[in-house]
Amino acid sequence: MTQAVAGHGALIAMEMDPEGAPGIFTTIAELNADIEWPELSRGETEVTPHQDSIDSWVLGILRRGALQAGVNFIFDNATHDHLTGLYSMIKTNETRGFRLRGPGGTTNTDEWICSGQLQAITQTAPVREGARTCSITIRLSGPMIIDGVAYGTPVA
Amino acid sequence: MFVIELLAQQNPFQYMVDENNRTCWSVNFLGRANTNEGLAPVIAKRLQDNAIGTPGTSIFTGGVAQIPKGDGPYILITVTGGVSDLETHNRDYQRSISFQLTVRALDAELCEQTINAARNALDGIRNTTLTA
Repeated sequence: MTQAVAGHGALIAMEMDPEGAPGIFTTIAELNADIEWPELSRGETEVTPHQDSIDSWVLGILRRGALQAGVNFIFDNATHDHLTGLYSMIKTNETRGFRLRGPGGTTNTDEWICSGQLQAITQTAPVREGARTCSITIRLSGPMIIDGVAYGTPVA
Repeated sequence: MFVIELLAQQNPFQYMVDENNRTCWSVNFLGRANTNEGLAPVIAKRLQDNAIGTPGTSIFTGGVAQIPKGDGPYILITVTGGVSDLETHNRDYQRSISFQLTVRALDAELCEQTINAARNALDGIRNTTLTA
């Protein structure tokens, strides 16, 4: 019997004040699109010597793709607007803490904690049908924590 | 009721002559709002505000409405099921709202004029709060 769960209810929260106390997150309002967790991958280098008759590879450091999401855009919402929200992030290029939680996720359970900057934001106003929306791309940077386990801690 | 959008799904169309020899026209609407509760009275009020009829006299709602046998025009608003709601991960809902508008009148030209006026009063409502 499957243990599959619906993806609905996943949430992204961000630190509204990156200069303030860390770990205080506010959920981004009206997340309306599929949330694409960042892809994790490692680059590859072939190290096959002439003496071998089958290939050998070494994988490099952990790399992440972008975090993709979308919202029903509310122009004066504090998590969306140009003063404190997403549009302010693209202006200031500041780094903020982000928290990704799966449906029903809680502290250190189905939860990613990471840092990133807003790399792209695109707003759409449909001409006839549909709500005003924004799609966002967040570029993560530096160490992150998945369910309390550190990923990418600095090499001593 | 905050109506995000309300759109006529087609131009009004004539579909029958009733048992009192009145022409009948119809048009369907589909839209999204913050709630789907109390839709029919809200639409009736909108028509009334646009001088298209009076609830209880020339505007009626629901499947068991007693439409008078007079010359009309009489407007009937029937709430239909719509489509599934839109929902965010945060559980913000855009409720689907839909209804069928029918007009019947002995005067065929007046019937068509009335339903076109009703369509024009309702089609393209966007980002507007309507009350009953």
